[in-house]
Amino acid sequence: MTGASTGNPEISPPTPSPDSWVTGSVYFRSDAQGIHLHLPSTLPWEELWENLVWQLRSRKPYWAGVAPLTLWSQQRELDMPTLQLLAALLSQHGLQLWRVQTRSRSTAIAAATLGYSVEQSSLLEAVPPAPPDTTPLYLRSTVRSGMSVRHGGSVFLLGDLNPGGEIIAGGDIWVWGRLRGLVHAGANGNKGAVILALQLEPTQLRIADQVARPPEGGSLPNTPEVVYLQEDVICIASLQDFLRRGV
Amino acid sequence: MSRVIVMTSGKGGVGKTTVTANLGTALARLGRSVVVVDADFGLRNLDLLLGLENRVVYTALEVIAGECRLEQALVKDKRTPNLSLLPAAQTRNKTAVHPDQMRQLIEKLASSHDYVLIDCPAGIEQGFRNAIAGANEAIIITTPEVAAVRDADRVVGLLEAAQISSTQLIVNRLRPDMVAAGQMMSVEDVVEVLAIPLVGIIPEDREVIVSTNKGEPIVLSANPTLAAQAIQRIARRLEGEVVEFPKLASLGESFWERAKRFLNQKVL
Ligand SMILES: Nc1ncnc2c1ncn2[C@@H]1O[C@H](COP(=O)(O)OP(=O)(O)O)[C@@H](O)[C@H]1O
Ligand SMILES: [Mg+2]
Repeated sequence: MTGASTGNPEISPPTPSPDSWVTGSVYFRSDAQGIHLHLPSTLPWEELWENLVWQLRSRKPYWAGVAPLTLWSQQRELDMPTLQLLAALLSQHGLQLWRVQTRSRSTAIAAATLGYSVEQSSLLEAVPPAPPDTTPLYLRSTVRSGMSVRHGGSVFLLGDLNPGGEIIAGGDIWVWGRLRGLVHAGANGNKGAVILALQLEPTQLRIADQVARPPEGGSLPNTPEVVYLQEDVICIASLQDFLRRGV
Repeated sequence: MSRVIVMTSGKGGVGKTTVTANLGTALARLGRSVVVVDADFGLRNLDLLLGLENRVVYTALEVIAGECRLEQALVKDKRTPNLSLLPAAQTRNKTAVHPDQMRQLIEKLASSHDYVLIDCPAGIEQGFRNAIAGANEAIIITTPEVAAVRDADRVVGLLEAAQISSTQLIVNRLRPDMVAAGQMMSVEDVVEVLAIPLVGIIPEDREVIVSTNKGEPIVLSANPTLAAQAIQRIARRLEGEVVEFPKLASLGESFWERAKRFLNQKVL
């Protein structure tokens, strides 16, 4: 071990409720019917669009061929031009919108007019929340300031996490690049989750319910490092040392 | 094909307006027809920097409202024949303009000019969205300061989301002595975070402030200062010329080698 970080037991991170921290943002999942895109109903459209474009760009290298896509738009009202814009963006990234699941009447009409298959559920009807996707998420991108990546499973980022950016994951977080932003691994409470980075210079580290700031000047330059929990204390070790002590 | 470039930064006071005025002038002096657009509604000062304040009659708002023709609002710069300015309104609310209206306006300007340079307001709200609406390229201007770079990074993300295809970087107000003393971020540090191609490095220069007050772009000077020369080089780079980055006295060899590499690096 190259040094324990300044774990601070007095502050515990906001524990996001398992549903809200993933379903409150734009997210994708896939099943036998293809890919499903869930749009949260509360996020302002501009923010939603920004996040969507980023996810599409970052995930594109890992999607093969053209895949059919179901849009879950909840109560959000989408008019025809907006739906067309969305469909065009998706098709640029190899996804073909074919079905719209909505609770908004106007969205249903717009989607039907454009020739999409529409499934409308009424507001009263209980719509089962989609289970958070716990499969690994592979991203190739830079996570820039202001960007937040939230995922139920582990996140593998090929690229840098810049200061002001954040990744919150149910599982591990591996950053194949410089980790300079905020990361929260095991956000559902999984104390076995680890954080790994080729270059670790984080703003803040969180695992499960523990928070740590990195020790001043504690990072070894250009050495992959692993962050893990040991008896509720956040520890940092070089990858070599971490492996030597047994995974 | 004309080029529509939005000059943006996120943070205020980093030199967007200064660089827009001077880069526009430098491009015009290379023989290009250039229009600089003040998109900072409510806080206009591009006209001031160009010394054209007293010639402004109509603004972009009147054009958008259909109260005058576009040609009537354009202010020609007598010193620089190929350069004109589309002023912003000083008074009316910036949210009065819609991105679609800006897009149409910029399209018209693009059809009659080689370059349209848009001076973006600070921030990432409505004014920013209006300013980027008609652009197909962006130049990010930042100073070598943590807060400015942080905001610039946010803006690069927003430009990516807006699917603006090309984004390049200008680092302004660099002080080589402070970098050498470890008191200021180096250009290398900045480029490492932002990961976009570098198109120019402008040193800190007192002349900039003097010229601003006179309403005379520094690139017009008979004896251009280092900052003026830096902006002239940016103009040539935009024109497709390969122009070496000169060594700033106190910066080492390896740094320039690396800076050059980033010039050709693709944005992730
Ligand atoms: N390279 C430079 N050297 C010295 N002063 C500069 C330089 N660039 C800009 N400035 C000064 O910084 C201030 C802000 O510049 P301005 O162009 O108005 O920024 P912005 O449009 O981004 O708000 C002005 O006073 C300007 O004269
Ligand atoms: Mg300005």
